[in-house]
Parts: sequence; C-alpha cells; structure tokens
Amino acid sequence: MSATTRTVYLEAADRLLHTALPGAVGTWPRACAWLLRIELETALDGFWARTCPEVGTATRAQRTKLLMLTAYADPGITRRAGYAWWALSRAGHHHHYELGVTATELARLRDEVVELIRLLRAHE
Amino acid sequence: MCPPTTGSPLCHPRKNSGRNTADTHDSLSGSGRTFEGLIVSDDNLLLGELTARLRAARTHPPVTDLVLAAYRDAESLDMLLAGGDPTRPDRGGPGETYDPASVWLRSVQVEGFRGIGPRVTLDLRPAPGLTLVVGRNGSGKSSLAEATELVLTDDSQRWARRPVTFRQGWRNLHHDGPTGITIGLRVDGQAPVELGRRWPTTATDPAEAELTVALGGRSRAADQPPGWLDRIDLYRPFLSARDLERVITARPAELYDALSPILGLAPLSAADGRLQQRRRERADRVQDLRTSFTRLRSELGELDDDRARQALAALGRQSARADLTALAALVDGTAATGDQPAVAAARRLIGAELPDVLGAFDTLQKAESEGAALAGSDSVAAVRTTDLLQRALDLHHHRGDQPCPVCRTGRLDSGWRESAEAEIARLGATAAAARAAHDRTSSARHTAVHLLRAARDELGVAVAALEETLPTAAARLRLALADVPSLDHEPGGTGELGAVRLAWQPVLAAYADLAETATRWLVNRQDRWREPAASLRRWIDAAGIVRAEADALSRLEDARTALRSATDAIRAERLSAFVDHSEQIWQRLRQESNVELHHMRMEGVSTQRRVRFPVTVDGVETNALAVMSQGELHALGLAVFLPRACAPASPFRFVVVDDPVQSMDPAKVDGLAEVLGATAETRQVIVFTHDDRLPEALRRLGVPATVWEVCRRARSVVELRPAGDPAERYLDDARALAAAKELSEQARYPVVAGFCRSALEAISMDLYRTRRYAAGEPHETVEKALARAHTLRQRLALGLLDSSDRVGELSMHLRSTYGGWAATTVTAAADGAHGTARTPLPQLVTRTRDLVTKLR
Repeated sequence: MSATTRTVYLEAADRLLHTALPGAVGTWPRACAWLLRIELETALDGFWARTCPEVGTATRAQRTKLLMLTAYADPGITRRAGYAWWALSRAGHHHHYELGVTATELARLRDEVVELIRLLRAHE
Repeated sequence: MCPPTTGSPLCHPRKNSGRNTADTHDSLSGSGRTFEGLIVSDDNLLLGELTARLRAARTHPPVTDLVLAAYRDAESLDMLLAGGDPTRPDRGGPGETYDPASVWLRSVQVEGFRGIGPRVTLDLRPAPGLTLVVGRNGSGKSSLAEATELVLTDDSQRWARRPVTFRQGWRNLHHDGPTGITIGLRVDGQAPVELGRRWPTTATDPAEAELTVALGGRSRAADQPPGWLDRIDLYRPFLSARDLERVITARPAELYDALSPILGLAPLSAADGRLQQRRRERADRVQDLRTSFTRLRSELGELDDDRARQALAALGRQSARADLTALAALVDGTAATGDQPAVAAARRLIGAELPDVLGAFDTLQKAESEGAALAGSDSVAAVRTTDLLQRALDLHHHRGDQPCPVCRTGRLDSGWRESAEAEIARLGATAAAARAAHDRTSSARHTAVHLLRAARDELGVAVAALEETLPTAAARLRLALADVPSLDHEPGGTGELGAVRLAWQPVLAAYADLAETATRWLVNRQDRWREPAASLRRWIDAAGIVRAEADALSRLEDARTALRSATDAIRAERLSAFVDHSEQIWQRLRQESNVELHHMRMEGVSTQRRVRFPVTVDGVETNALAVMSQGELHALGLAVFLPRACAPASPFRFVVVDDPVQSMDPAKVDGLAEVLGATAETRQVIVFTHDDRLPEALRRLGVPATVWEVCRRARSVVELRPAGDPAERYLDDARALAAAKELSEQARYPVVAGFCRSALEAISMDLYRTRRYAAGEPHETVEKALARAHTLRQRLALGLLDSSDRVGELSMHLRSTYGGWAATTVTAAADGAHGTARTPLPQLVTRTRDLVTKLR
C-alpha cells in the first residue's frame, strides 16, 4: 500500500509508532494495535464487499468472517489474517501479568497488516 | 491411545488446496538430503566430494593418491609411502560406518522421579509431528523431559554436578515405591527398544541406577545398548534452557566441538591426522638433521685438524647441500687431506725397518782389520818371494844347473827346482788369501756406504715430511744427520769409520725419538677423529634417509595442503547449509528483534577454533552475545542447536524441547510456533512448556499439533490428558460458525460442512497412523498410504478398514458398527462441503461430534 492511499487509521497508527505524542505516553502501543486491527477489519470488509457482500453485511462478528475466509481465500491469507487479528486483539486488550506489545513488534504487525491488505486486494 | 495429531486440512469449497502432508516425508526418502539441504555424513558421499574437490583443484596425481590412501586407513598410507601401489579407497574407513537407524520416541514412563509420584505414561506417536506437553510450573512436565534425557544420555555425572537442592530432589518425596523411568523407542525396521533406569528405594544418588535394556520385549544385558545410542551426545536431541545457554556459557572451542560433528567431516580430520603424523616424523628428521648439522659444524670448527676443515667445507652452509661423498671419504679415511704426507711418513717411519747401518759398520771394520793383518806379514813377502823364485826358475830353465846368483853359495839344480816350485805353490795360496781379504773389505765398505746413504735419505725424507707436524723431534734428527761425516767408497784415513759410527749414535736416538713422537701423534690423530667421524657417519646416514625421503615429505605436505583446502571447501559448503538452517530459524525467531545474524562461522583450527556469530544491530556490526537479551540468546541457542538435533545424519528422529518460551517475548512465540511446525514436518518434536501462548500460537497459525495437558494434584499425582487435538479444533470452528445465525445458512453451510469433514478426516487419518505405527510399519509407507487417500471416504476407509481401496464397504461398515446416522453424517459432511445441504446445520455439527467421539 502506497503512502498516498493510507487510510486515516493506518496513518494514525504510524504516527503513534514513530512519534512520541504527548498524552499517549504508555498507552500508545495499545492504541496503535487497536488502530491496526481496525485497519485490518476494514480491509476484510472491503474483501467481503467485493467477494461475497452477504458475509460482510450480515455479521459484525470478526471470528465468523475470519472462519468464512476459509471458503473464499487462500489458506495462507486465511491463516495470516487470523493470526494478525488475534495478535492485534491480544495487544489491544488489557491482560494482567502480561507486558504490553513492543514498538518493534508493532512495526512487524503493521507491516503484516499492510501486506495482508495488499493480498486481500489482489485476491480475485 | 495417542490423541490425533495432524489434522487434514480443510478442503476449499472451490479448489483443493490441502497441504499434502506426505510430500514432506517423501523428501526424506531421497537419500542424502532433506528439505534443509543438509548433507548426510555418508562416507561414500564424502569420499566422492573429496575426490571431486581434489580433481577440481588439479591436484597432482601422486598427491591425490596420498590423500586418498590417508582417507582409507593408516596401512594404505604406509604402503603407498613405502613405494607400494596406490589403492583407491572405495569407501571410508571402517570406523565411520553408521548404523542407519531411525529412532523415534514411543513412550515415556516415569515413577517416583522428581515431581512425579505414581506411575505416569506419556504415549507418543513415533512419527514426524509436533507434540506439546503443557502444564503450569511444578506440574511435573519438566520431570518427564528430564527423565527422558537422563535415561537416553546417561549423564548422571552431569547431574551430580548440579546444585545440591536438585540432587536431593531427584527422588519424589511423596512416593514410597521404587523410582523408575522407562523410555519406549521405535526403531524403523527393527524390534522396539525399551531403555530403563530403576533405583532401589535405598538409593540416594541418581548414579545408583540399575540400567535395563529390552529389545522386542526381551531384556538383554544392560552393557549392550543399541549402537546408535552412542551418538546421542553428538546430536543431543534435547534442548532445554540449560542447553540453549551454552551459546553463551560454553568456551568457543567447546561450542565448535559441539557443532563440528554434525558436519560429518570426522573421516577427513582422521585422514589429516594420518598425513600429519607421517609428515611430522619426516619433518622432525629434517629438523634433527639441521640441528645436528649446526652442532657438527661447531664441533668440527673447534678441531685443529685438516679432516675437520675439509669436513666443514664438505658440509657447507646448508645441510641440504652437504657433499655426502666427500664426507664419507673423510670418515673412511680415504680422503686426500693436507697432512697426508706427514701421515704417510710417520706410518713409514714406524712401520719400516731402518737399514742396519751399524751392522754394516761392524762388517767393514772386521774386514779391514783382517786385511790389515795379512798385509802386515806374509802376503807382500810371499808375492815378492814368489816373483824372485819364478825368475830363478826361468833362469834355471834357460841356463840349467848353476850356482845361485843371489847367495853365490847355493846351487840351482833339480833338487832346488822341486823345492822352489813347492815354495811357489805355498806362497801363491797366501797371496790369494790376502787378495780375498782385500776384496771383502772393499765390499763391506761399499755396503756400509750404501746403507748409510739409504738410511740418511730415508730419514731425511721423514724429517722433511714431519718437520712441520713434529718440529722438535724432526729438527733433532735433522741436526744429528747433519753431524754424520760422509763415508766414501775409497777408504779414508784412520779413524774414519769410528767417527761415522760415533756420529750415527745420536741419529739413532733422534730417530727413535721421532718414531715414538710420530706414533703418539698418529694415535692422537686417530683418537681425535674417532668421535667426529662417528658423528659424521651418523649424520651422513641421517642425511641419506632425509634425502631419500625428501620427495615423500614434500608430497605429504602437498597432500595436507590439498586435503585441508578440500576440507575447508567441504566444511564451508556443509556449514553453509547448516548455517542457512540456523539463519532461517533465527529469522523466524527474531521477529521484531533488531539483531540480525549474518553467516555464523566456524573458524580457526586446533586451539584457536571457535564459532562466531557476527551480528548487526540496526545495521551496525557488533558482538552477538553482548547485545542480546536473555530471550534473544535462547532464540539464538535454538537457532544454533536445533539444526544439530535435526541433522540428517542423526539416527534420532525426535527432538525434545524443554520450555523454549522461557524469557521469550510474546511475539517470538509465533516465530517459535512456525519453527517447531516446520521442524515437525520431518521430525518428531516434543515440546514441554508452561506457557499457553505456544499452543495458542500454534492453533492460530494452523500448525498441527497434539497437545497434552499435565496437571499435578496433591501428593505428586500427575495426570495427563489430551487437549486441543485437530478434530476438536475443527469441531470448535464448525460450532462457532454454525451459531453465527446472522449470516445466511446457505453461505455458512459449505464452510461448516468443510470443518466437519476435516474433523472426520483428521480422526480417521489418526486412527490409521496409530494402528499402523503400533504394528511397526515405517512412517514412510504409512504416510504414502495416507497421501494416496484424497477424499473423506477414502480416508475413512483407510482409518476404519485399513485400505482406501475398500471405500465401497465403508457405508455398510458404518451402518453396522455405529448405525445408519453415521453413514448419513459422512455423506452430509462430504456433500455439504460442496454446497449440497442434506442435514440441518446444527444437526450436522452435533452428529459429526458424536461420530468423532465414537471413532476415537
């Protein structure tokens, strides 16, 4: 995905990732993960709108949509999307006794989301 | 029974994109290589590589022969060096043949050991695949891992060095019975093996175990464990946090040694060792020769002896250029030395008799005195009287009888004539005697003159020859000789002989003195040379050997160089495959780490050998161990040691990983899951972990795994139960999607049916595997049979009826065994996945679950 087509979510996530924003101290990783997850979900919705609009509109439950992906996308995309969504959800939620996600880890997940968006768009 | 492992992939409604699990196994059957591209340390392969490398380097044929003979064995090499014909090795040395066993873990049974009280058995499927044993800290899972390692590696020594708290805790506190561990192993194509270790209740030390070995259920002597067990330390298919930390804690050489065996280059180092030994023997001789050359030179330099000077000249400045022929002549005494005339003169002086000058003088003196006695009396008178009588007889003859004209009183008559003639005869004898005496004197003088001259000459020559060497004694003789008056053939005056005789006495004395001096000198000269000559002789012999060996030595050196460069190339090639594998693993494990590993290297030889991990942090080169976090170092350890544990040459097809997630960042866990999943494609991977992140990551990533949960109740009662097997996972997904009613059933139906079908496929493939492995079938044939079965029915036929060809009997079998609903459910799942809804969706899911439960 080129810079010009970055959505508002991805742009915000990138800003959180690369700049120290006052007020986001300590909370930015979770916020960033959340924004990336929304970005991924948006891409999935776009995929469903093109491939099978019913799936996209009928439900808001992401697990259902991800499970349905099995029938419509390559196993690789299904697996990666499932994993990225799970990892971002995990990072976006509060967990006791577990450290938050690190900047580099977020950067990797960000790249994975961008790649998934590309793959979902390229998918027939 | 083992819970199922590899789930059948969910078939795509539109195209079959299922991953064929058998493909990865097929790659194993191709000899020598696996998907990692590592080369099996097969000797024929190694020999082939070596030969090819030597040829490519255009190695001189005699040098190649040496390398190959050294590769073969010591005898071949020695024979070749002794001038024998080169025998090309057709295969490696006898010590390098490996038992090509494939060993899998079948079960681990533990009782009364560490955290485990009553007997617990972990059943494992002896085939490639990932098994997770999950349990909280203290649940007893690590006890299972440690028990496995203890029995297989027999390193109670290492255990004995562990902290005292451990040593005290090796025996379970809550268990009154005996302590024992039994490891069940499957060896492809051989009878199953059980290795055990039992401790009597009185044992206090882990080393007090009694070992048990059973083959095919029959126990055999504990000192005859299977041959492949020796190599467990080479490949160490156990990776615990302690092992992983060896990348930091081990000395560089230790790490090198730990990694080098997997490259399978031992035959090459053995060959190099043989060449080196023989090269060193010869090089030592060359060195010894040089050392003794220097010593010999300095010894000879101290000698004031012409032979020493000549020897020095023949030795020259370089031992290699010494003139051995000239040296041998010097040792044998056949060389022309500067003191040779003196030596000859001295020898002659000592050996030859001096003419008997004094004897000749005596003879002369006697002859002279006899001559003098005759001359003084009768002889002259006799001659005159004879003369007078002869004239008177002439007169008488002519004039006849007459008176004596001399006395005038006598008468010359016939009477007188007779007496006169008698008188003449008598006087003639007297005259002859006088003449003889004169002759004798003359002869004696002649002899005396001659001998004296000869003696003078001879002594003069000796004096001249020895004057330089023995100046005092020679000068004395010269002076004495000069004082001797000359003796002529004509008799001199009276006293002449006496003077000569008197002057000869000092000559004789000086002569005796010179002879004695010369003898001493000769002996001394002989003695002085004896030792240097012996040293020289030894040196010449040694030099002869060294020169004869010079060609062999240079060939040995060339052979070592050729072998070393071939070895380096082969090592680099093999290591690069290994390093690639390490880097692949690191690449997956590092995830968000900014540390990059570049071409791990094995460098140096002998004491300088080490393993280097050149890394860059954000592109800046640095030392790995200094910048890495604990978690990263564990990951590095895994990257370094996992390829070794999975080395193709290893007979151990399993690898046990104990708590790899320790101190690992959350994001590395998914990398770890990928690495373990990839490894499990060809290896039996058993992972013990306290962290549920790993099973979760495996599940999310769709990595098939068997999961066991360990929990420990009071008094060390440890329980194992299967959790999250693939069929269960598919059913879970099916349930979730079936409940998503907001989406139309038409859209959901094929996907849910697909999950149901996958659940059934997973369980039937698992049934087949479990049964076939229990029957001792090699996993390749099992996986081939599975690979041939593509449809749900074929897979069910395989799982239930042992053959995918019996698919026609399947419906009948299901109906008669489980009831009509079972057959209907299978049809519904199969058709439903293709979009034909035969059964209501919730019913399809519940029935599938029921069938899975029945089948299991």
